[in-house]
Amino acid sequence: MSILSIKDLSFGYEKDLVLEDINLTVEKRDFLAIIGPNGGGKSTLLKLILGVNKIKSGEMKVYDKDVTSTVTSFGYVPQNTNINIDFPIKVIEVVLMGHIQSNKPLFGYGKSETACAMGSLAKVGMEEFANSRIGSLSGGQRQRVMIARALCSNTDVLILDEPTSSIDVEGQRQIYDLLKVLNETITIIVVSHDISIILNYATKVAHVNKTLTFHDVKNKKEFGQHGLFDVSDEHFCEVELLQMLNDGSKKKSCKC
Amino acid sequence: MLDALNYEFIQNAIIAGLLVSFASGIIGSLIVVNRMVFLAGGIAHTSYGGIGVAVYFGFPIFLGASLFAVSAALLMAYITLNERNRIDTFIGLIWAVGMAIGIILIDLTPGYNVDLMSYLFGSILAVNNEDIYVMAGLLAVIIFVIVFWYREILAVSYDSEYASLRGINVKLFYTIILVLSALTVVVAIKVVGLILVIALLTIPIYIAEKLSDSLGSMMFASGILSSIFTLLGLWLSYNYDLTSGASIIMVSALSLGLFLLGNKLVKYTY
Repeated sequence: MSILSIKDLSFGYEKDLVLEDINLTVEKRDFLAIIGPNGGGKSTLLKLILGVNKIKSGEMKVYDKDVTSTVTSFGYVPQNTNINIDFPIKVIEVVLMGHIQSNKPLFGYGKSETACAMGSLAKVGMEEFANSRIGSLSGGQRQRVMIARALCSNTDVLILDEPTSSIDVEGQRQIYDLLKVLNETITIIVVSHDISIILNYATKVAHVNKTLTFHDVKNKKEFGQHGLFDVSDEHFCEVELLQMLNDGSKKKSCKC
Repeated sequence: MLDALNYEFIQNAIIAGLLVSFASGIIGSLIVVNRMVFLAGGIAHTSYGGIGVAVYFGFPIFLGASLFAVSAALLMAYITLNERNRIDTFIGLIWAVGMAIGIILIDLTPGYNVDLMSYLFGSILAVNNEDIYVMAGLLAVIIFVIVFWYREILAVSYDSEYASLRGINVKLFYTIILVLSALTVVVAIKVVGLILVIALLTIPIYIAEKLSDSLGSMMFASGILSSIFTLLGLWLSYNYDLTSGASIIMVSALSLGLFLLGNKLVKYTY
């Protein structure tokens, strides 16, 4: 059973297509990186996966079923975690928002809900901050709280939109190390520009620029030992990566 | 001074001040964290149109003001939720048209000589028993809504995008917040008047936000602060024969100034 499968999906807000003939399958415990230029349709694809945008042509199945509910079953971590920094809210209250609203108690939060939220905080190493005000945390800590909130929705899949865009380098590394640990049990989909880090963690890469090009990086990583993926300065840009992926594919005759 | 407490109008003023303080403390907190201050200002001024309509057609002023304020709130909710681009233009427009309707209808009312100033700047000393029942009723409704839908309102206020992904009807709660704001504005007009109401909905709330670590405690702290400012303002107004609404706002503003100064000093010393 695949977690998510998209077939021949095309989508446009108005006349022009933003996404064309998208095919994508996400299997259990994948670490999928969605990359591509700004305006290439990454966010639109994300909104389709989350059910915010409705599918017009093509099909999308989540756990082999058509998507009917508007409440996504995926855990979502938004891009901008610096919104409402001044908002008087405790970390634990932010995490508790992850629970689905339908089976809530008459008022307040249930004991099991609070326990689950504390568990999620423990998973991201933030339980000691449960009663801190969200604005007092650093960008990286806040991102962890958002991950805890997504975990709190009882999901097997985490979707993160540019998770490291507003965090310092050390914080970014910690976030990705955390994701790597979480990836041992759950599936992770990351939209990111941050190719150098993605390369060290992702098992699959989808390059979206109106169309989607799929790369199975897991197998190709083995070529790295032969020099194809040796990156001495720990940083290179998207273009080089794609050239390399294309190079590799010509040699190994994969059709991307 | 204590003799004053024997007068019924003073007792009424104190009760009304406390009720309105807690209503505006709770709703003001929601207005501030949702960045709706300009919307609340628009609603307050639009309600003047309702006062004009009520005077012209001869029905209770409270009813007229409520009708206009709630209609303005619904219209603004619709605009902010659907017409994102020119929100401020539309709100400014509703604001001015509401006031214009009020002024023209009062012009047209034959032999009209009610003190306009009391609606613009409040008349807490003229609060009667019915006013108090209305205020108490509204506060009860507000507390009920907050207690039962606290987590939804918190989620919508903090992160509406995520709230909608979790199945919360963001538009519905946004509209509820605006309608409750409209009703709160109408009862607060009695205390501080429609021009000054925006200060009551922001000054105590701003101080409370800095002192609180959750939305609930911010609402409570706002209510307490607002009560203190209102009672102090009332006392000044009674002793020195000043306009009550303006006295309440000046007490609040001075307190805010002292609070900010104190904050700066604390930062300097550490």
